[in-house]
Amino acid sequence: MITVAMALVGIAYGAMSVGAGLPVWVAPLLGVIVLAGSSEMLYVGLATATSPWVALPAALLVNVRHVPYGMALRTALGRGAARAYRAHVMNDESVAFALAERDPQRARVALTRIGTGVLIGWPSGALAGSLLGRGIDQNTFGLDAIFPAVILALVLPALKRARLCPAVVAAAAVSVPAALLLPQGLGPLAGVLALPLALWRSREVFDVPQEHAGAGAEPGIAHGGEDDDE
Amino acid sequence: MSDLTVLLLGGLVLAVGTYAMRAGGGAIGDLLEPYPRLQLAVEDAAVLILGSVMATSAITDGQSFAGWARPAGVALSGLLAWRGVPLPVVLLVAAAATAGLRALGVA
Repeated sequence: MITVAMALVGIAYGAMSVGAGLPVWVAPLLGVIVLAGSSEMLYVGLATATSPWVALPAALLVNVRHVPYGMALRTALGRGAARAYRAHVMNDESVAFALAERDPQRARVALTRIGTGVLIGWPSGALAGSLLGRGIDQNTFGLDAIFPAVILALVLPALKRARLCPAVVAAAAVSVPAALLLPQGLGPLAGVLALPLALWRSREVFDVPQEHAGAGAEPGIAHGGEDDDE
Repeated sequence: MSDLTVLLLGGLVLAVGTYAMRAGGGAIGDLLEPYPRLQLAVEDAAVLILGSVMATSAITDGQSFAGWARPAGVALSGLLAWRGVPLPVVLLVAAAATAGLRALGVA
């Protein structure tokens, strides 16, 4: 199921990259070696509109979230060659499924299974989209709406939590005028301006358990519990 | 160097950098362990960037307004995702609603 969903987005990505004037094989190739959808679409879109060196920092920044993912899934990654493979297929979808499993062994299986599904679906869709892209106009099929829709669906769990909701809304509200006024790529980064709002709200996460549970409550525990529903 | 070579070179750096961040997460996690506030700030910033990427890619096209059809399609899909509709259906609705609005003449 997740493979089909990723293939659908991959079609939009492939069609977009061919539409931007790139050869058919570029989108599937990046799909396999980068395997991080939003950053690839950002990179291809920005690199063809401006320059790869403007696009690269923005795309890398979008992928910084994989650092906390790795931190959260340390135990599920395992060891050796399997660890190297699981690290590569660690993405929004596989992380969401792995975090839902309490048992490290089951989390490991979920990470491998969903991650491999994405590794198959995403580049395949990109190839299909690249091949179709010359014949179809992505606006006619509304494919340009799929990427923001995927990101929205993935951000929704954070919006449902009261703590981050105002900050995410503020980030979105700041980023749109920023995107219209600033050079391309800076708009999304302007969303970080809302970080103080998120941190201000996070005081409750740290302070409340200490007040109620006394010396035994560590901030890390409160944070770990809060993280579970992502 | 041709434009394509530069783009592929950048893509390779992106791939290596992304993998380094994925594989390095565990190691950095050990270092950040004594600082849960910093850890939380890193995660929050990632969510905020994702939210901004969503808003800008839904509403803008480069430095101009993308028209009403795409944000409307994305908003409808967000409503369905909120109600727990499966992701493939959500994505199909986003594309179909956007395409449908355009067919009706909404920019």
